Amino acid sequence: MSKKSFEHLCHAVLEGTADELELEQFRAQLRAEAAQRRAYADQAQMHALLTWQQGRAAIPARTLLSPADVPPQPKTPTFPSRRASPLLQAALVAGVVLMVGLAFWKFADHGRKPASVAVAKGVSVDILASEGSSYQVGQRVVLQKLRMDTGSLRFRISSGAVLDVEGPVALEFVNPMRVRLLRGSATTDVGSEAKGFVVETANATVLDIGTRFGVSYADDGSTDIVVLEGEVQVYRAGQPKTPETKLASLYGGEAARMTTRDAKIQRLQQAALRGDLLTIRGLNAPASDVVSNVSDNIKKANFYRCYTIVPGGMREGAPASLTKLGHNKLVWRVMPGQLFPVELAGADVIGTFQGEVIRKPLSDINLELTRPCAVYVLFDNRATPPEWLRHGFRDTGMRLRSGPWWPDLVATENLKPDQNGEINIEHSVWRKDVPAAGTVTLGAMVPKQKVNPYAMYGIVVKAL
Amino acid sequence: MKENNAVATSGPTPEFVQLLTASQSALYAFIVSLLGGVNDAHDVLQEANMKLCRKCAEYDPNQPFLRWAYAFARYEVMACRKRSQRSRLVLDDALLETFADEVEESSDDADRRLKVLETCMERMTPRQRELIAARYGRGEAVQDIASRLSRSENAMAALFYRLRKLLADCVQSVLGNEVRA
Repeated sequence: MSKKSFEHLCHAVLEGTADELELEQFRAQLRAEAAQRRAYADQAQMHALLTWQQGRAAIPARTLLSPADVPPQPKTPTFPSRRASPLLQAALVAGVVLMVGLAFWKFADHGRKPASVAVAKGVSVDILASEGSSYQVGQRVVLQKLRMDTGSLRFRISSGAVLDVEGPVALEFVNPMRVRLLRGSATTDVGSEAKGFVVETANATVLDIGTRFGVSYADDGSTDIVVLEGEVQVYRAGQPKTPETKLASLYGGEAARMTTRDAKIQRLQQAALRGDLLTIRGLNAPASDVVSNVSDNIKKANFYRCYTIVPGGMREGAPASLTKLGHNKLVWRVMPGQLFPVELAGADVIGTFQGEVIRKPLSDINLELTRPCAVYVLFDNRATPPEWLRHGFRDTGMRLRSGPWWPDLVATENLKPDQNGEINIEHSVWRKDVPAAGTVTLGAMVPKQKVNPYAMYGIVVKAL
Repeated sequence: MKENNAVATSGPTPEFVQLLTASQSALYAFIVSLLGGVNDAHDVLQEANMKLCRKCAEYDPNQPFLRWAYAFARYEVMACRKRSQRSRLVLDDALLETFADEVEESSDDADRRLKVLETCMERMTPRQRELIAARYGRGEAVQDIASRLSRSENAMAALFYRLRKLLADCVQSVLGNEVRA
């Protein structure tokens, strides 16, 4: 049997799709060769660890004991018998098995014994990633509250929602479908499993409709909501969620702010993100030290599109645009066979939104710079460079691609997929050196009266 | 006498609980390997945890915890197989014994393995990470991923095989370097 056949069989076994004949062939392979057994061991172990690490190893509901079920820690023994009753023994063992899940308290609460807090109500979560926190990847823990001054954490709640948080942050887990953000920022990805997941702050209730979104509650009491994919609905805190009380529906690439509970919801023009993870930045995360603001002059009701900025994030895979229509995000890619340009690597990358997608020419974009900078415009190479670009910038000769695009657009109708089956658009990289702090204005892709069948340009800024 | 009334409630110590906690992912992986998939793996893990706690007094702290725990997990896998005689069994009894012996021989720091896996995933390309996230994070079926990316299911299955092998080799390499260092 060829190696390819073993790969196929092994995959079918792990995915549970192998039929009886395939199983028999698979067993014969394992019996015959130690190398195949090692290969299967590696495959099964990675399959299991990835399932575990990514939080998919969900505990069946019947074994999700309520923390309240845990027996109290034994006190002074007063039973007449020398041995504990079988019932008590069983209860103690069950308690310890649950404590395995609760062991986070040991790490998170600096030595407090697990059983002493096991009576707290909470929500079961899996720790998926941990950096600078006392939690450990792979832990399954029960949380009622989470407070972190530093570090970052990614965890999956038993409802299926995955949260990314970064200290300082304070959260309350109301139930598996509702989290209360008391301070800091949380990015939530509910996938398709936890539609209806709610993140609430003191002034807003954000209802998820199947998406990835970030909510930030600042120390000044304002709430920022950034939708990275999909859709959320925003309500005033404490109000019932009805069509009448809904303040806004926000979609991918849109962001809004509520300064107080009673304030009008307003467009948030700039949202700072963390790299390719697409999470919003925490309160302690340093903002860009070269770009203090990105804005335009679009004044339109129910318009919430935002610019994203990833400080130091320019590299292969950096976000180019958040798209509103539920497609994959657009990212920056190297040209085939080339390395990523060193000149651009590590610069601040500003994600714009696509005029093509909103089917309107976009207005000027203003960048407020805090120091001397090189400003780069990544321009659709098929379009004629407009006046403001040709006269204010110079073509560096560098080229990058944005993608993956989708085929049903005017901007991509004549483009062919690459060898990976993906459509990319080539951009030329233009540079302008700005010798002092101040405002730089970038114009439209094409004159406003003309149709724009091109990708919107991207922006990169680097301190000189 | 008061002492005679003492209850034998000397359950697992905090050290034991910590060892058991740190071994969960390795036990899970061991069970998945023997079962040939993730179905039933949680039930078996839960049963094994219960047995381990009941027998905690028998654990010799001078011996590797994981190897001791594997014996319980293996027993629970066998029990699970008996309960589900009519359902799909990937390994026969003899093969399971051989395979379990070989895996137990190679047991190492389970907790460390999971952390190294995280490091290895960071070394993957964004595209590879996205595939892993789709299959294992979002729980998409391989067939659906293949369909979404306009690939054949066989090609996607082969790709996932290679990704898992890539990660396994990376983890082995990092752990091997740590041992040598």
